[in-house]
Amino acid sequence: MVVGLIVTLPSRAGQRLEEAFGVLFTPFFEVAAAAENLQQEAKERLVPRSVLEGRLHSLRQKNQRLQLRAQRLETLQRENAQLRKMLGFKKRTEWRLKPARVVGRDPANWWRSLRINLGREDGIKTNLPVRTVDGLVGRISEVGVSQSQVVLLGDPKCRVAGLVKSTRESGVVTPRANVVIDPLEVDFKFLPSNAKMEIGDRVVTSGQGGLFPKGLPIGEVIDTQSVDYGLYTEARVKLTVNFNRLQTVWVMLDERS
Amino acid sequence: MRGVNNILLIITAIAIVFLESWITIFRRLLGAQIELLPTLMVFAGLRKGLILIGLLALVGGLALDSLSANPLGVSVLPLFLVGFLIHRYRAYILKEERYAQLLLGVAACGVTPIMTLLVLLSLGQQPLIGWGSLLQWLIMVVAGGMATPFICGLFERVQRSEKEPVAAEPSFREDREIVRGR
Repeated sequence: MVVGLIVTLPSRAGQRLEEAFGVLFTPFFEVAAAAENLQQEAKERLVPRSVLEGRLHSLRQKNQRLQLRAQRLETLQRENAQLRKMLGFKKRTEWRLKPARVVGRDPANWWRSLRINLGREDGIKTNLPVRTVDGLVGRISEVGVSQSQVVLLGDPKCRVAGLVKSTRESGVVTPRANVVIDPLEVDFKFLPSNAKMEIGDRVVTSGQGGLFPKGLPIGEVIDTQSVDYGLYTEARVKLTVNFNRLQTVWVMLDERS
Repeated sequence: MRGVNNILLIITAIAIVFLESWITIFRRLLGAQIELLPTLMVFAGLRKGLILIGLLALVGGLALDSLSANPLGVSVLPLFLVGFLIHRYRAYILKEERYAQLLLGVAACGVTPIMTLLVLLSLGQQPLIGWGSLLQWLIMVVAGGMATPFICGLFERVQRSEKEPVAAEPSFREDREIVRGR
C-alpha cells in the first residue's frame, strides 16, 4: 500500500520526497569529496618541483596561444553577428559554461545517468545540455537543491538529433539495442536509405529539437547497415566522451534565462 | 545498547546505496554494478521482525531510487517481498549455516532485479535491457551471493554483542541455609 502511494504521488510531492532522501546522502558525498581532495593534494605534493615548473611553463604557452585564438574568434564572432543582422537571421543562443564535478553514478544497471554537484541554487534547470571538451555528455533530467541528475547519451531518456558532419545526413542518436555492456556505443537511426557516410565520419548535434546547440561532437561512425527492408540506414557510433572516466563536466546555461 | 543492530542495519542500507553510486570500479571492470541491498534483506528476513523488514525495504528502496533514474518507490516492493518470503519460511531454513546464507543471497540477488524490472516495465518505463543484461545479472547474482555470508556474519556478531549478559548462578543454596533456632 505504501509503495502504491509513493508511486502514485503527484510529481511535485514525489520530487520533494526524492530530494528529502537525497539529503540523507549529503554527509556521505561530502566525506567522499573531502577524501578525493586529500588524495589529489597528496598526489600533487609528491610531484617534484622540476616537473611542476615544466608543467607551468607549458601551460603558460598554451594559455597565450588560446588567448590569441580567443581574440581572433571574438573578431570573427562580431563579424558574424553583424552579417547575420544584415541578413535578418535570428540571433543565436549564447551559452555560458559552468563546471561541475561528477559525484556519483546510477546504482541501477539499466539506466545511464550520473549526479553532479550543481543544483537549483546554482541556477541549474532541467534539460540543460551537459558537455566536456570532447563532446556532448547528455542533459539534466532532475534538479535537486545542491545536486542534479544527468542522463547520458545512450540512455533511453536521452535521444539526440544528430548529423554526419561531412555529408550533413541527419538522424537520431538512440541507445544501442541489445547491447548494454559497452556504454560507449550508440545507434544512429532514421537516416535516409541513400545516406552517404563512411567509417570514421564524425557525428555532431544538428540543433534540431531545440535542446542541444548545433555542432557538439557526439561520436564517430563505426559501421552502417540498411534496415526495414531498405527504407532506412542505421549506423553504429562510438561516442567521443568516455563516460567511464568522467570527473568534470560543463553545464551549458542559456544566457537568456 | 539494545536496538543498535537495527539502527546499524538501516544506516548500512543507506551507506551501501551511496557506495554503489560512488564506486565505479566494478562497472569499469565487470560491466555491471553490484547490488547488495538484497543481501541485507536476507539477514533481516532471517533474524528480524516484519516491521524492521518493511522499514529496511522502504528506506533502502527509496534511497536507491533517489540516487537512480528509477521512479521513486519501484525498488521497495521487490526488496520487501524478498525479506518477507525469507521471514515466512525461516523456520525451515538452516539460518546458521553459511552455505544456506550463500544460496539465499544468490536467490535474493537474482530475484530482486528481475522484479524491479517487471515493476518498471509495468509502469511504462523503458529501461536499458538486452542480451548483455544477462551477464550483468549473473555478475550481480554471484557477487551478491558471495557477500551474503559475510554480511550475515557481521550483523550476527553485532546482534550477539548487544544481548544482555546471562546472570551468573547465585551461590546461595536453600538446602544449605542455616536456620537459626530460638
